[in-house]
Amino acid sequence: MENRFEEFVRNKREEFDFREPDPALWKKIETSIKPRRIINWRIIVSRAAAVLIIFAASYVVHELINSDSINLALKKQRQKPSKELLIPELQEAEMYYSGLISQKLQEIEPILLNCPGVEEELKFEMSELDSLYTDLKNDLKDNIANQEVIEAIIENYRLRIDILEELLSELDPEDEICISKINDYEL
Amino acid sequence: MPSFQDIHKDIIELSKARNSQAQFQLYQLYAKAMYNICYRMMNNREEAEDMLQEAFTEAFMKIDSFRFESSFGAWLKRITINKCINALKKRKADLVYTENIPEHASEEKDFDASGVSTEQVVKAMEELPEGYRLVFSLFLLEGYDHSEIGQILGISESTSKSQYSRARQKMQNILIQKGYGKQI
Repeated sequence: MENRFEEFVRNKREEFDFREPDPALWKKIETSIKPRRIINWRIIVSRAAAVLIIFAASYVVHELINSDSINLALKKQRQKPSKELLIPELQEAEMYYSGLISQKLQEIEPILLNCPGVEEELKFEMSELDSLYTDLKNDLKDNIANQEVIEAIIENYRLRIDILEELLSELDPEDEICISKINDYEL
Repeated sequence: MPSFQDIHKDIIELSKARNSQAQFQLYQLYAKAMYNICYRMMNNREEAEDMLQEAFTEAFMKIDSFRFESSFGAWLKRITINKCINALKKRKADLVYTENIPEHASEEKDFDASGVSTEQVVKAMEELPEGYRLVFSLFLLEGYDHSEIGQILGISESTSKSQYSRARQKMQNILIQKGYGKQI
């Protein structure tokens, strides 16, 4: 049975909740319940593994397909030997001329420092010759009229050397004014 | 099972969807009541605030497990009380409740509370030993019955009953000592 004291407390129940929590408390709760991005390493690792497997598999397939074409190419090569391997005279010539060219370039470099215009022109000429050279090399792969192509490559080298020698003989290192003296070469 | 029609169903559902505005609304609705429970149990402001924070954090984290089988308030209250009980157990490993105390009903006199203020009762409560304070507030203020209190505190129903009647007697004595209220 309820006594008077209990009755008193129950009647005034609401008055017992008179305390107020610190208003700043919500901020703390809010931060602690913020959804965190859970990094699941298992998923990441398994996905990475899957990607690796796909790459590896496609590589293997690619290799398998390629090996067939390589075999074909090898057969062709045996039938029709080609390229630099079997053109020692070209290799020798290339070594000789490229050595010579780099030597000339070294000589001309300090002189060109005073002649920016000439340097530009020389660069242009050389790049023209470079692209011609690349074309010739490609022609060589076709394995048609190789002798002519080789001659053209050697001619390409000679042209470079001619240009460099011409410049060297005509440009005086003491000259203050540089005038383009590169002749128009017939490429 | 018929689900409990909670008046705050909408904001509870939104809180389940991690809507922070709804979470704040829910907090505002229950924070004060829960804080007062915490304060009565912990008997100090600092720990009460810690418990309130922990209780709400846990409630929002596991809000998906709330299935409207009771009112949200009752669900939250249980979480809050459990938080406090666990903290009290940690704080004081030897939180004991005197077992099998014979009923004092015959010895106990009725109490005339006229002229006693809530504040005076609260002050007296703060002076109660911990075990008494818990049973007293769980029964009289939080509205649990003795079998529920037994479950919450891990004691028998009869221990809860005897503990409560001793607590009530002690309360009355404190108030009388202070010159508030009269024994009849």
